[in-house]
Amino acid sequence: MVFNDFYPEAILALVAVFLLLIDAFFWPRKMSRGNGYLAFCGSLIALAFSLWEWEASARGYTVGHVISRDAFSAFFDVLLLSATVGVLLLCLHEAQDCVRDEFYPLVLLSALGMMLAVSAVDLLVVFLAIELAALPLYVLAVREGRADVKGEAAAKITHWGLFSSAFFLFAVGLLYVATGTAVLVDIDAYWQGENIDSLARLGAALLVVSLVFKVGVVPFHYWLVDVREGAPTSLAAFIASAGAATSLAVLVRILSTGLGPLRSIWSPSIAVVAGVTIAAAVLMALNQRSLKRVLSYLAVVQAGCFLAAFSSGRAEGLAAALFFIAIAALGLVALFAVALMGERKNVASPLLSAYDGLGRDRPWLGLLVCISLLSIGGVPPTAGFHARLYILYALVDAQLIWLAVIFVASAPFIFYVCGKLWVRMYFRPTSTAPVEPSAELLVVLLLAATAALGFGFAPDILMETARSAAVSLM
Amino acid sequence: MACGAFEAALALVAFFLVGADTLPHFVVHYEWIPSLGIAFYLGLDGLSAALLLSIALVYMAALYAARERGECLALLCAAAGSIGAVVARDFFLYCFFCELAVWPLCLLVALRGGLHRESAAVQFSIHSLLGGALLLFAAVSAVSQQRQMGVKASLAIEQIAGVSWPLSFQFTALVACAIAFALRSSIFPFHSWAMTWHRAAGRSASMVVVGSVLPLSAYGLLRYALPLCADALGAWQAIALPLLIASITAAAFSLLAERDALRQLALVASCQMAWIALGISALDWHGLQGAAIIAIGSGAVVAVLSCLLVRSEDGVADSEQPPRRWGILWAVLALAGLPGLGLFPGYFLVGLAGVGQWGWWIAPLALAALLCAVWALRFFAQMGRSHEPYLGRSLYLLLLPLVLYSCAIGLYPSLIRYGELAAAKEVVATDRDNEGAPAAAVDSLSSLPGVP
Repeated sequence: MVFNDFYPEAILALVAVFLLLIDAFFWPRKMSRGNGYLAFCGSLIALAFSLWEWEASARGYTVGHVISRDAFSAFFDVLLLSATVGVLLLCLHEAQDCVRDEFYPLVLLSALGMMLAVSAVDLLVVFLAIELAALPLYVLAVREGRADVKGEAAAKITHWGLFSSAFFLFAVGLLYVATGTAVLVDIDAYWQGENIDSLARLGAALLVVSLVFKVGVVPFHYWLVDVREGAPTSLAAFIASAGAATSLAVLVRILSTGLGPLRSIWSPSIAVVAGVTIAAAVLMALNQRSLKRVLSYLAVVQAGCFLAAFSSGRAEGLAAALFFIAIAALGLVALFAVALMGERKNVASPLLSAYDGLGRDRPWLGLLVCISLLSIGGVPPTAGFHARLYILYALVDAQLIWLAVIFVASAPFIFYVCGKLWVRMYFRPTSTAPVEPSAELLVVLLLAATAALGFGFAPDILMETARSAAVSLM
Repeated sequence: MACGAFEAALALVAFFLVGADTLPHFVVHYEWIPSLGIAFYLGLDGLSAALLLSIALVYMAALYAARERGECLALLCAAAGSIGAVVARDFFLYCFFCELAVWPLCLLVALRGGLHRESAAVQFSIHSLLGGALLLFAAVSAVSQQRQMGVKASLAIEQIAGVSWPLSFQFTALVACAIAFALRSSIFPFHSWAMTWHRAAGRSASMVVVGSVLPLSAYGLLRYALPLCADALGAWQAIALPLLIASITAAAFSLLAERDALRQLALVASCQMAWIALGISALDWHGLQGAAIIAIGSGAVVAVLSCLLVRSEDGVADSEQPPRRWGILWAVLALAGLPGLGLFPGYFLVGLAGVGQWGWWIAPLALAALLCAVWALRFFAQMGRSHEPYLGRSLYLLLLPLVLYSCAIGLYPSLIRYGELAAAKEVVATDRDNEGAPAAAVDSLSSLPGVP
């Protein structure tokens, strides 16, 4: 292993350890915001290194047969670090009223685990990386959740997270017994042989089930929605954006490079799961009154859309999925920032009514929120529109017309769900306790709106990157 | 208002500059999303120049009727989208600009609308969004189909008219385009959003919907959907024609049953859209001409009527207003198809196409026309009895160009240059002769200025 190959990960690890040391040796009350800004700067530097190493990563090479540096992992590194930067800004706003110094290093360590997970090509390393990403989240959900619902959220994320990890480990064990290896390329070669052990089939099935469970698609979505509602909002944003992206990336890598010869089996199954997820989650989102639950269900819909594009089985479909998840993750972080604005003490999750009159009272803030909403809703001229267009094209091109019909039919419902907040902002009289955005939240909203409009007018910049990432994997 | 006047003046100049040339003028072309064959391709030809002029005049009057600065801003944004959709020569770009035109109007009604404004904005946006999504579905299907056929993917008008689309693809595209058109142009029975809209929206927003959004939908059907799925339309003509006739007749009956003037406005616009669809579905050159005349003329006529109707925002009635009464009389007579007032050539040509295609359908159409005439007289009688608030001399003057333009089309239908309909005409001819892609349309692709 060469240190040069892991600059971004190393920076995250160093900053996290440094923050833990500061926390141990200094009085935290005086350092809280400073720690936050240190973590923010650390992740910004890591992001800069990720972008700088892009060319080298895009050429593709393997480190010790366990970590693959390719365009796919580079794409997700940049995405995860961008989401982490945004989430740290949310943390800075959320931590104004309390001392939460351990929050920042734990978020950084979780991001480190996610970056390793999307690069890992050995199932044991994938498992370790996923646990490194998940354990800090369990701790944060248990310690920092809102008083009235944190018990449920903490219990669900711990129990169901460990449950899916156990499934994953069991599946890895079965596959190792059957194939004698945990390296994805070797497992892929095993499926091309003639004597396929039934244990290997069982292991592959369990592996897919455990990953689908982690992704949180229907019918395994219920625990994630409750977790996102009960967790602190910045953590919920992290789980919904970076966490979901990591789970999807791991699923895609394992299916593409480890179970490639079984494509004829898993591809239709993934398409069905995607169709059911889009249809069910969008219907469940219709009646939600809490913004965090609405966003959680939208994250489930987005996971379904990602899987729909991926199930087309082509590089173009995967590229569309990557474009979509990048735009969706940025949009979700921005909308969780909006949720954070509406939070009050002793209220677990802000209702949509907390934003009554926001668009009239603060037109510029309303405009920024509107742009993020339009992007999530897939309305032009935002990037969300192009994301949906690419997915639609991938589905039609792969002759998955039934899935394309579900995808198109879901569009007005998604817009309706987003429109409920918009209606509140512009139709209702001003709320008795108007929202107060901090500078950090405004920066998040501004960056997200700029990205949504920028990639809306020049989508090919991001799409070419997504395409090169997809080609490196398929 | 100054922006609107400038825009109308430019549209008028462009209208005269374009002339009868079949090739597009003022062409702008560069690749936008090459992976999907989408280009930023703009241009103006005879048909689009005529529609552009009508839309620009509607926006000029609507901007004058706007009451606040925010309303003007929303209308200017919508105007940018509408004009973009007219000058677009790429199917995707057309869909993109249509969506851009919709959202400012939703915001406008949401913020400045009257009774049931929430419901109006939500219904309008959902219908538009679903319609837009279906059009996009047709567009990406066309790209995918071209790739399968080994053709370089493009959604430019010329390419769409030049490719021989397989019948199976045409059926898919036809279903998507037909539902999208029905939703967006409020064809009976998908007209409920329009009835809510006109009651909730102010004068400007109501004018813009009938004078710009609906004609744009018809324009899309004529320009992109017809070349894309003419064979499938021919195969399903026996289903499409009775449905459209039933839609026209039902809308005409509903007109007589409806008491609210603003809801009648929605129904009469719905009726016009069904006439346009009927002209296109006849797959006849006369039908296409008639559809183009109604699409352009009815936008102007219904926009004038919409502007002259009394609304809750107008305040207290003061005295009789002769210009208003005469304007309403002109509009309802034009809508009823009185010769020389704008829409008569359109109705006549669509009817002629129908008689040539399928003789008996003239009977229900004649019944619908009769019902519309009865409605027109009754409507005028109702409007004429009451005293109405004064709208202002300037607004009446600004409506005058719309009236004159519409009358000019009625008296001299050749004012609309059918140059670009040539491609559609050849598609129709191909459909009849079943001889493959029209050579002239293919040739026109390579001869276009600015197209590589």
